Amino acid sequence: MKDIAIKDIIDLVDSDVPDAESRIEKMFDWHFQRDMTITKWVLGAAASLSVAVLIAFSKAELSLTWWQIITVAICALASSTYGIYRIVRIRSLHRQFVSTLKLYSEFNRIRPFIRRYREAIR
Amino acid sequence: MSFPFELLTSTASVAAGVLSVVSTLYAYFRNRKNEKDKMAKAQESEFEAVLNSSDINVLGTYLDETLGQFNIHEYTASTKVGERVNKYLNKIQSFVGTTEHISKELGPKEVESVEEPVEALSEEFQTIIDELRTGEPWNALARLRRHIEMRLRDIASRQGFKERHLKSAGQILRLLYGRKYVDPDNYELLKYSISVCNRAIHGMDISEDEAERAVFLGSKALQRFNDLRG
Repeated sequence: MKDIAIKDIIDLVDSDVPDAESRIEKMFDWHFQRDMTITKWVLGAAASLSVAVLIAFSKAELSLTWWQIITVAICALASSTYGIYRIVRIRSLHRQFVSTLKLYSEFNRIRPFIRRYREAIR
Repeated sequence: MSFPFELLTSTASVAAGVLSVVSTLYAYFRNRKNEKDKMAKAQESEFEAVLNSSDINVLGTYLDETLGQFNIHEYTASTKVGERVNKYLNKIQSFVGTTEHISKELGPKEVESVEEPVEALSEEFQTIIDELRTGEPWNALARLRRHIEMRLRDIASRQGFKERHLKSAGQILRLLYGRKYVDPDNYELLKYSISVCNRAIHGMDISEDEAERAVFLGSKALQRFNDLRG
C-alpha cells in the first residue's frame, strides 16, 4: 500500500496502541475487501462485454458494424486487463500485510529508544 | 448507426486506451523517480555518519525522515529498498540494543561510589561530562560508549585481532578479558560503564548519579590503560 509509510509504523509503535497487530490486520482486511469488490465489478463488466461481442458474431440478425464490434472488444479487453492488474495487486497485498507486521515487530524491539527520541523533539 | 457516431465511439475508445497507457507509464516513471530520490537520500556513508554522531535527534530524525519515507509498497516491491531498510534497521537495533537483549544483559554490578577525579579529565571526557550536565544524557552516554569502543578496538587491533571479529564495545571487552589483555579490576569498571551506556542508549531511565559514575569509571579505566602503555 502506497499510503502506509514506514514512519506510520514507527508512529504506531510510539503511540502504544493496544493490540496494534489486530488493528493492522483489520486495516488490510478492509483494503482487501474493497479491492476485491472493485475487481469483481471490473471482471464482471469485462465478461458481459465479451459475451456481447460473441453474440454479435454469432447472431446473424444483429446487424452491427465492425466499428461497433471493435469498440466493444476494446472495452472488454481494457476492462479485463485492468481486472487482472487488480488481482495481481491484491496478491501483493498479502506480502505487504506480512511485511507491515514484520516491521512493526522489529520497531517494537527498539520502542524505548523511539519514545525517548520522540520525547526529546516534542 | 450513423458514420459520425461510429467515428466518435471508436475515437473515444482509442483515446481512452492511449490515455490509460500514458497514465500508467507516467505513474511508473514517477514511482521509479521517487524511489530513486529516497534511495539517494539513504546513502550508506550518511547513515554511518548518523550512527557515529552520538546525537539522539540526528538518529531519530534519520529514522523518521529518511528510512521512514519509504512506503510498504516500495519495501515489498523493490528488492533494493527492502534490503537497504532491513540492513539499516539491523544496524540501528545493534546500536540501540533490542529490549530482549538489554533485559537479558545483567544490570550493572554495584561499584563503590566514585568522587569526581581530582586530576583534570581528558578533553573527550570533559565534553561528555559537560553534555551530561547540560541535560543531554543520551548524547553523553552514546559518546562515552563510542569513545570506550574506539579505545578497546585500538587495543584489540594492536593485539592482532581481526577487524571482522570486533563488533560491539561489550563484545570486544569480553574478548580482551578472555585473553587476559584486560585485568579484572579494569574489566569490572568498563563493564559497568558500558552497561549503563547500553541501557541509556536503549532509552531506559538512568539516574544522574549512575551516569556520572559511568563516565568517571570509564575515564579511570582508560587512564589505567594509558599508564600501562606509558
